[in-house]
Amino acid sequence: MNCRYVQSRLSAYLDMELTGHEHQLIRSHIENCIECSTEFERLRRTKHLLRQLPVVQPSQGPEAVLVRLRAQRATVSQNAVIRVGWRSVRWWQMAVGAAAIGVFLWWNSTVAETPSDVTFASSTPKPLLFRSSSEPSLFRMRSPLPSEMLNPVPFNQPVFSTPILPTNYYPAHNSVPSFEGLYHTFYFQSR
Amino acid sequence: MTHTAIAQSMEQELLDREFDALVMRYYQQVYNLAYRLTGNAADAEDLTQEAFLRAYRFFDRYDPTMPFMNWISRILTNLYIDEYRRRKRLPTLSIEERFENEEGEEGEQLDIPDPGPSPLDIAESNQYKEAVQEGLMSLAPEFRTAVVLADVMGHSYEEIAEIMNTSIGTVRSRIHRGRKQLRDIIQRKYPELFERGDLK
Repeated sequence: MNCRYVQSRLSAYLDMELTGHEHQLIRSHIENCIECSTEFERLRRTKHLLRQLPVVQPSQGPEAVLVRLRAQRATVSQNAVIRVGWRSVRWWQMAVGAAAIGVFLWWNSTVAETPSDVTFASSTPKPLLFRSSSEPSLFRMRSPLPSEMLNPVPFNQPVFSTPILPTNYYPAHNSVPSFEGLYHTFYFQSR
Repeated sequence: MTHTAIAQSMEQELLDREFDALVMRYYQQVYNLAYRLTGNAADAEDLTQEAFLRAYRFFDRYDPTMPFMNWISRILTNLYIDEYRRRKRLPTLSIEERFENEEGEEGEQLDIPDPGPSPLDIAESNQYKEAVQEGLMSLAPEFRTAVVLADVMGHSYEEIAEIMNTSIGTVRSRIHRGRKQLRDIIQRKYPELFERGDLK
């Protein structure tokens, strides 16, 4: 066992971190080697100085940490309320909601097309969702013609016809955008 | 609120209380470790607070078979070494240097008021204690951490390896090299202290 090997293990020896056999070998070497025992003594003093360093007292206690923790928890619990709110919606509630939306859309598009005396001639067409039942659908299903009865259309295949709009459906001429109309609008506005 | 949510909330409340108790119990020890690593009260307080906040964030990952002090020491030393490296990369402006503004005029020195010795500094004004702390501050952060954990905090090599997430062989090497460097510094700068071999 040479001095280089011993000196590389002096700190571990000092800290009692060697196996029993290795500890014994180094101990017997130090007892017989002035250089290694001097080095060991220096390291022992250094460790002793460090061990004597007092425990430093903080100028403020743990209150600052606790205050910051409370603030962090408040933020986390606010976010949790939002999360829990979403989680509390059950799958069947979501399904019922989706079904309700589906029914509403279906009703809007296929509601009974009974004629009505509502006149749209002087007003602009309303958006699809709020269109009255009296308005014709662009893709209205029609009854099969007698000639088609012999060779019926498959059940699941809709028959489309060109929409025949009632005369009072067409908007009044002054609501149709035209070049002249736009010209007049801009002309009088600019005056 | 559902039953599950109430149960979760109560469980969180218990965890929060448990963590608060740990903060109260270990604050001083954690601060002491932070102070011996950073060498000043302001940085030590910041580091201590950050370590506790991070520990709280990951408290659900804490394995109670590991002593809490070891676990938070790991968080703190990681934070410290990361911060040390980050600061080293940042350019620094010496307060001793005079500077020129855009018009080429030479300005005064940066007017940073001297806060003077804090009560803590006064209490720590013992020359020998400062000399040892100064010696510690001149070590590389990994060596300083290993030496402080072993000699100031009294951890075993196995614990230090766990805290620093490294092998026992590396810990042994870091402690040995750190002590040797510290010994050289103290012996060179404060030979009388080294001859005396005692802080008291």
